[in-house]
Amino acid sequence: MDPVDSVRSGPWRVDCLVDGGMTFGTDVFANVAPARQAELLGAAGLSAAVTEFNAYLMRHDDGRIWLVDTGCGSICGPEGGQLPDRLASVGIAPGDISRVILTHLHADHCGGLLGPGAALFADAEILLHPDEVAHWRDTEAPGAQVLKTCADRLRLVGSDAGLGADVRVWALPGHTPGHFGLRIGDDLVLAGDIVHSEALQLPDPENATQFDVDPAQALASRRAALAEIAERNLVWSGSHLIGAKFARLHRSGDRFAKLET
Amino acid sequence: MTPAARLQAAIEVLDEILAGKPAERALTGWARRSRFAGSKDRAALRDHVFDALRARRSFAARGGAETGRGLILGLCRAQGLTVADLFTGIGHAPAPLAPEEQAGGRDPAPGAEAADIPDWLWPRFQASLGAQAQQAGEIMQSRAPVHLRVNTARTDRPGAIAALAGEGIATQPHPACDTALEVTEGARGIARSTAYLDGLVELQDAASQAIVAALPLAPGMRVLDYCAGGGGKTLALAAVPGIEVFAHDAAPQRMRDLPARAARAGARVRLLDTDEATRAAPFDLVLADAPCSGSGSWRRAPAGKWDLTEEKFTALLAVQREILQRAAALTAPGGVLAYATCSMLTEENDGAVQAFLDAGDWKQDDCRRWDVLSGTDGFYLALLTRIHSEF
Repeated sequence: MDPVDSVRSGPWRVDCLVDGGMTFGTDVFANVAPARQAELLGAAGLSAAVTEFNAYLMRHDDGRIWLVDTGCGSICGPEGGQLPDRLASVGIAPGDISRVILTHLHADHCGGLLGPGAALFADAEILLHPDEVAHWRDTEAPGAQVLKTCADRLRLVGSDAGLGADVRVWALPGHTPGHFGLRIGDDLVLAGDIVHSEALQLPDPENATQFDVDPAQALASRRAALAEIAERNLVWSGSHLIGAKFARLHRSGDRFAKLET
Repeated sequence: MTPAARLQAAIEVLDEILAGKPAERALTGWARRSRFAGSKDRAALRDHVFDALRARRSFAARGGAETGRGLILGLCRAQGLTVADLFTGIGHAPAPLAPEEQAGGRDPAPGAEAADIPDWLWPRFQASLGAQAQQAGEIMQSRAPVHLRVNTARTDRPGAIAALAGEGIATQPHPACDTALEVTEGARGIARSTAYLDGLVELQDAASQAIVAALPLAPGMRVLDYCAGGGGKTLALAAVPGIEVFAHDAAPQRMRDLPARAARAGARVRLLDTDEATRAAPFDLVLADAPCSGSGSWRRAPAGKWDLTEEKFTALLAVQREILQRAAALTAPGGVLAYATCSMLTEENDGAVQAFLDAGDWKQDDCRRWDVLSGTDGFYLALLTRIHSEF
């Protein structure tokens, strides 16, 4: 198994655990001409828009163990669902986790709470944004199923809520209405799904997937988040980063580049 | 009874069946009337009758008539028996052959007739089984092997083999899956054996067991057998540790024996009607073992082969498609929809699945087939999951 990328911020040790990965077809970035996609991917040494599903294990020095997102579970087929193995590889049993924070309710983030492994995090409270509940509640999407199955242990957290131990909600709406990242201490952020393909979207943040519920708002969130990360020289990670999971950003005009730490 | 008298009895019973009486009723009726007959006579008669029903078309060709007498004459000729020694008219033996009977009869024509498949079905049968169609048809002219499922909640395979051997029933492991036994001797004693009555073994075809073994089951799962019928697969599911098993059938009366069978097997199964199934949904796995032509088990139920018409077949295809839709609606996100038939016909299997996939956001993760050429009944299984294309 690949080594786990980790970073430390104050009392928190954060491990990036890869649940799986896949390749997006050119149709996913519908607003980018296939030739332009090939050009950007080529510049990054890729032949296709490869992505991975990242979840994060947060371990506090005082023994608290939190999990950010749960991977796909069985929902995405064999391409995902490796999170339980990854947790085991760092010596964590699912029952050790006291809190699961869901950045949003897409299947590759909440799927680990469904299906055969549903009992996995049975002891954890589950945090998510109220706008996410409103958006998915009356649908047939996996998110709705999570809301049903986990109804008795959901905790809703607002846009700038403090979660304790110097961790705050970082609202990044647009991709989905209640999509958020986390600010951990002063120097580390987890930015969720602001980027799905770093090769396509860092050089040109206008490039977007068709998965954004509100594309204009998602673009504004992406721009603001990338700008802040670059400006404040933050260490960041995104749920779909490949390669180095924790990095800084260099900005030049409207273009961004990943600076490996 | 002499061998010839048994043939005459078969002729009479077959005439009743050809006139429209269900085979089982015709056989029971004969047994009730024939107090002189012993259990061996009844067993032999049953074999003759079912042999003739399985090979009805080719025997009629060989015997020169599709009558009880024609079929049994065809059977004798197919088995290479000396007809003149049996059709003597002495005692209870069949009457001697008339000159036109001696001259009549011919070898069945290669193709549908020799394979004992109805003409309308033959192109579909060939399309489904390719070069092996003829062989598959001919295999279905003979009796199916008897398979048992070891109830792993009660014992293991060596334990079951030993228990059965102690009661004069010889078995050997069947390669289709690790709960399956093939009975090599003493099959008729099973229903009275302690091993069966105590629930150590169940009668179930090896491939039918292999279907359950192929399902991705894990402890904690809620599993619905959507077309449970008599519950053979339900019970096999209930023997899997740690899962919660529910049974549903569109015709609940088909499940009437299930509670008793479950009790014998020490299994827990909850029976649901259609409304209850909807309320209890979603399930982590829904097994839709759909009504079908039964072409994979025509050895066991040969009447099905001759009763099937193109019209009935088309209606079945529609039912299968509807069941896929209904079962899909009961399957949890991230859950598995397992579609199964006991047919070898492509339209009921890949055809139904493909139409379902074309219509919605589902994908096929796995697909398995068993056919009579591999020593089991014919079965089909497709494992389907939802596609989630938002990231």
